[in-house]
Amino acid sequence: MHDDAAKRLRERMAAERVEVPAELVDLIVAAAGPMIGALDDLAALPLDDLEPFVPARRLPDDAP
Amino acid sequence: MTVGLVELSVAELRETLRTRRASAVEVLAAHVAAVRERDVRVHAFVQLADDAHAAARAADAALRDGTAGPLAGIPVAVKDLFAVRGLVRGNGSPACAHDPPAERDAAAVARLRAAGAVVFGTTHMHELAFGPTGVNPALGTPANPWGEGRVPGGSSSGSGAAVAARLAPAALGSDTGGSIRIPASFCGVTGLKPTYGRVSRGGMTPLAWSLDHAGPIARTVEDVALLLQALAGHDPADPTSARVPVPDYTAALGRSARGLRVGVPRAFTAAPIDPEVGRAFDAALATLAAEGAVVRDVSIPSLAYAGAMLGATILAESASGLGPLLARAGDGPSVELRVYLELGKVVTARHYVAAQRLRTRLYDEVSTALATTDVLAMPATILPAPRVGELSVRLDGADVGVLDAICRTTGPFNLTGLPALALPCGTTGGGLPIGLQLVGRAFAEADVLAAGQAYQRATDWHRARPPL
Repeated sequence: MHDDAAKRLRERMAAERVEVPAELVDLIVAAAGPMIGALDDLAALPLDDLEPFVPARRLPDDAP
Repeated sequence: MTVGLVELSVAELRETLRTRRASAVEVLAAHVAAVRERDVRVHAFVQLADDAHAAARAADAALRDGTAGPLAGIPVAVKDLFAVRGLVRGNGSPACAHDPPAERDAAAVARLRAAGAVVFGTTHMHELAFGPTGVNPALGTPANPWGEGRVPGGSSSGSGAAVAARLAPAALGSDTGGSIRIPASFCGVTGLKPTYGRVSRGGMTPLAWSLDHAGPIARTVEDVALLLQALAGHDPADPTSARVPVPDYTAALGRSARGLRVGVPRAFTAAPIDPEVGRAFDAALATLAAEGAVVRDVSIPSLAYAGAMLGATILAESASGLGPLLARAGDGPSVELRVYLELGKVVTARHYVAAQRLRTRLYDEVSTALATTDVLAMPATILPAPRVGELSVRLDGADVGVLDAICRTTGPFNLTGLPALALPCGTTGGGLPIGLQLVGRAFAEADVLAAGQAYQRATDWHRARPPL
């Protein structure tokens, strides 16, 4: 994980008052950093008129 | 005969019981003896059920008088997040160890019993199903029967290890990001995540409502089909359960692979990937093609965001669902689980809603690919079982986080809810299993099982026996 992405994750954890043991922060950044870093990319995507996916509604509609 | 009974598949045990070559009591005794003798090393089981012997006797009576159900006398193990009457539902967590025994069965367990299965024990798991390795420092990590020091895969770790190690012919698992298919892939067995809503989740501890599924693990596709036949169907007590007719799954198993259209999302499966897994996957495609399947590439661009979609959904939904448990459990839950639930705080409403909207796009893209193919194929996991404690792996010259890597090809089908089957398709030079994943249209489990059965007719990977 790039240093700037790790720094952003640390800042976000601090801002949201994520309470984790200090000795685990490096481990969390390494293990979950890339996924959490991608959340902002997700929210920035153009999603047009897409509605949220509701599997219990959508899947039975498509049953054979 | 007793030792031989634990080597038999569900289908073979059915025939053995039908022809009275062994009784259900003898079949149960053989599996209980195997657990007592070898589970010291495998560590798959949490507890054995006291009422299993009575259930086996009842199965024998039903077999004698012609009223036996389709799974009469078949021992089945159950992941420890399903309620099993009379047993504590431990959820893989010290936080639940002192809960009272369940007063009634989970819906899936009740269906297995109604089909005559003998529910004979509960299996270890990743704590509260929140993790794909199966590592559980508090209650113990099941061994991977194929490799000392390798994770069994999770979260249905004990179910996968028990079936692979011949301690149970079949087991019930749950799957939120791959928790049936990952242990199936790492332990060299066959596991099915059915369509969302196909199998009731009543009485199953939730992790993330929109991603959770229940399904079977066994050694062959035929066995998985037999279990699904018993498990599938509408449950009015589960609001997510679908009112969709249940077909005859075993009837589909005779289909040839001739003309089967197999789509490969090549841009997604090409990299990063362990080279031995990549070669085994290519060989599996070649086998299907040799059997008459038509293999072609398909494009599903939103798979690139599947990891973030899955993370946003699991972290947000589990923080909401498991937060109260954490609050009442004091110091019971592990540090790992607390960290995951704390990380839910970094997922904002904007992230969560974006993930749910993008799931619609992913579903539409997968459905488009499946409009011109019968199944999609990809590796069940892009790597063989990593070592216990390994945090990252080197794939295609890059360091990849183990958790992301393990869930890479399974998670997308929790996001879409489509049926996905994991089955063995090779081993590494070091002897670790490699898994193939086949994915189908909504409620088209029969197509997925037929394709998997055609593959298992042509190969012997599912017959391989681990050293442990």
